[in-house]
Amino acid sequence: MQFAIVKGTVVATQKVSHLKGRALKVMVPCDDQRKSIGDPVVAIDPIGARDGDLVMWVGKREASLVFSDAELANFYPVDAAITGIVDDIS
Amino acid sequence: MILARVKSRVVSTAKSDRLPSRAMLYVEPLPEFGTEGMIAIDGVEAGPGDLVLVMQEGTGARQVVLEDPSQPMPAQAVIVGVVDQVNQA
Repeated sequence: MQFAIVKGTVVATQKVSHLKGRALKVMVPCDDQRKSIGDPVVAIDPIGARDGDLVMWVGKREASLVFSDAELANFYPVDAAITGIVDDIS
Repeated sequence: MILARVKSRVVSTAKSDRLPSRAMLYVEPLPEFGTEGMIAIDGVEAGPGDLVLVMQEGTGARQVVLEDPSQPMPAQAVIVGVVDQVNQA
């Protein structure tokens, strides 16, 4: 997983059926000092993060496993997903 | 797997219920192994300052961390060892 800061929300009415009802967020990957490290990414957000939140997210195939109804062998078209809102780094 | 240094502990209350209730640590690869830090699930009770072995593959991660590895888990990186010593030729 990586850190990122949520920068905004994406609204897409017309999308593939698997993504219906799923929130999409724009976020910028960052390090533990909140310093940007790379280009923005659009991620599925099942947690409900808000703009400015420091979140953790997962990429690649494991992103599809955040859905609570996702089986291990699923084919959700997702390559980035927010997995949690970070309270503290100590 | 890569060698990395544990920098800090990560605390998250609002997180995916698919993630295990285990410690999460922010690790930074040794320069030879990469530049980008990551959040790894702790499989070995490591702590800040430790030099650790980090495995970055989802299926293996489930084997290490979950009681039932057939359950989904949205994470890849797991700390699988605390390194005592590296001998370089």
